[in-house]
Amino acid sequence: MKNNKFQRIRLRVSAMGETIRFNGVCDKGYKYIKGVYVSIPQDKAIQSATLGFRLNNVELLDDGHEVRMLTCSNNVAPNTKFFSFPEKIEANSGSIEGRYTDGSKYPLLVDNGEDLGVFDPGKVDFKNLAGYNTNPFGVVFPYDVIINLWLTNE
Amino acid sequence: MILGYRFQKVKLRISKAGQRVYFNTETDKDFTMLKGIALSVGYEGALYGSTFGFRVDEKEIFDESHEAHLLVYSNDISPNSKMLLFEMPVPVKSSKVEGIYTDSSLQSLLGNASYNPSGGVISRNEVNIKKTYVSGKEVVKFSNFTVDDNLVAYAGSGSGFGGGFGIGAAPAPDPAAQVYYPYDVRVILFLSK
Amino acid sequence: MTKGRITYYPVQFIILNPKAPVTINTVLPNHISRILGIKAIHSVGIEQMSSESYLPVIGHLSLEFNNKQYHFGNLDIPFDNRPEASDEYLDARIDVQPNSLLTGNYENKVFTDSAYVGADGVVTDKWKNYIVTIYLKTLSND
Repeated sequence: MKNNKFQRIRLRVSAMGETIRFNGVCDKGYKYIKGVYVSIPQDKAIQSATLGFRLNNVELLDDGHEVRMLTCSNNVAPNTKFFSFPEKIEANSGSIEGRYTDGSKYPLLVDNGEDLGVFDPGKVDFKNLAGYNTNPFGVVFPYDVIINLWLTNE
Repeated sequence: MILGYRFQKVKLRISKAGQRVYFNTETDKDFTMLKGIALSVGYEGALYGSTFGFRVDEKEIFDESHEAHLLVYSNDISPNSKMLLFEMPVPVKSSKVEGIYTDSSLQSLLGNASYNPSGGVISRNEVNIKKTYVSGKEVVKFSNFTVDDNLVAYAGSGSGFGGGFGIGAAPAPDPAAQVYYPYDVRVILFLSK
Repeated sequence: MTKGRITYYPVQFIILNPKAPVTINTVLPNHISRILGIKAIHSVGIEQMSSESYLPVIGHLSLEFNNKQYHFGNLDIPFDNRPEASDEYLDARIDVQPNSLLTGNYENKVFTDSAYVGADGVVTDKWKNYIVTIYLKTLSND
């Protein structure tokens, strides 16, 4: 039996700022989840996009975790493209929950510009700034995101 | 099951050219080591000349004049290398963490003619424009330091999406390097048990 | 086990004239006991004179530690505003004497023609000052 498998979860993002929730089950026969790699077809869509990820109700990545920390360009060697979790995490057909949020609506602001900013004294009304009514980084919709999970027995 | 790691995040909003934003927070009580740090920003043009100071338990890790772009990693780097990992993890225990981000901080020093005729080391007092850290107090919360003429010329019209470089004699900058305000900076702390 | 903690200590210097060498002379803080790594980079300024994002050498830097007793070597300083710019520190293992001087010289190698500096040594409007920063990865014992 093989010791490694790359399980894929494909999402279609249709609109700026869209949030997609997904769930599933880790494929059978693999003890651990070793890493994750998010594949996005447009570099510009990586900016400010976030991915939250839970396994068996344990938060591996919080909802504000930036996709840019989970992906890389083709200039990176194939064997180091995955983000490896800092510890062994048991998969064992565990249940997956995730939340992907497109970041291109307010690309210069993380979390799609939701005003969670702890440190915003001026309370800038950024949502009404001229530039943010458009998509200055030119992300084309729809686009597909593939979340690759590295399952292993090792 | 509780994981042995956590990426603790602090979000800062930079609203105008030259803005200086201070934060403090505590590290998550369940974790005892700070193993690494990274910054993240919506676009990298904002980072050049901006600085980020950082302290843990009132002990300095990065001076206030540490350049922010040195803590941001491009997409050409493996995901696990997108952090500055400390060779010696910093022990923490609900520790006070402080940071200060200053937009376009170093540009403000370029026009200063008070050095030797040929130039020289810039004094710490000039680089660290205000003494922000005072034990037990938040002296500067969200204040903007005074922006001198040189900085204004460099950073353009300041707030608003139309802002950008406006210096007369300089070559046309790369559009990707234009600075739009507001933008967010996220500080990511890699904690472990 | 090594005692202390790692801090990152920057030393910034400004270049005001393309043809005049810059002398570096500064006292390192007392709490720095060891230098573990060194990185010297262009910080700001050159981008106002060049539309390039990379110039391999803008100047030469020579560095000495411990009151000129230890010569670290000569470094070429690039201008590198590319995202893939290296963030590596050069390895160093230098025990620092208390209150000792960091000294050195920097010689600019770009924009030295008459468009930037006249025969009288006065810079023209085309010249823009720039800043180079020496980052010291240090072991601090405070």
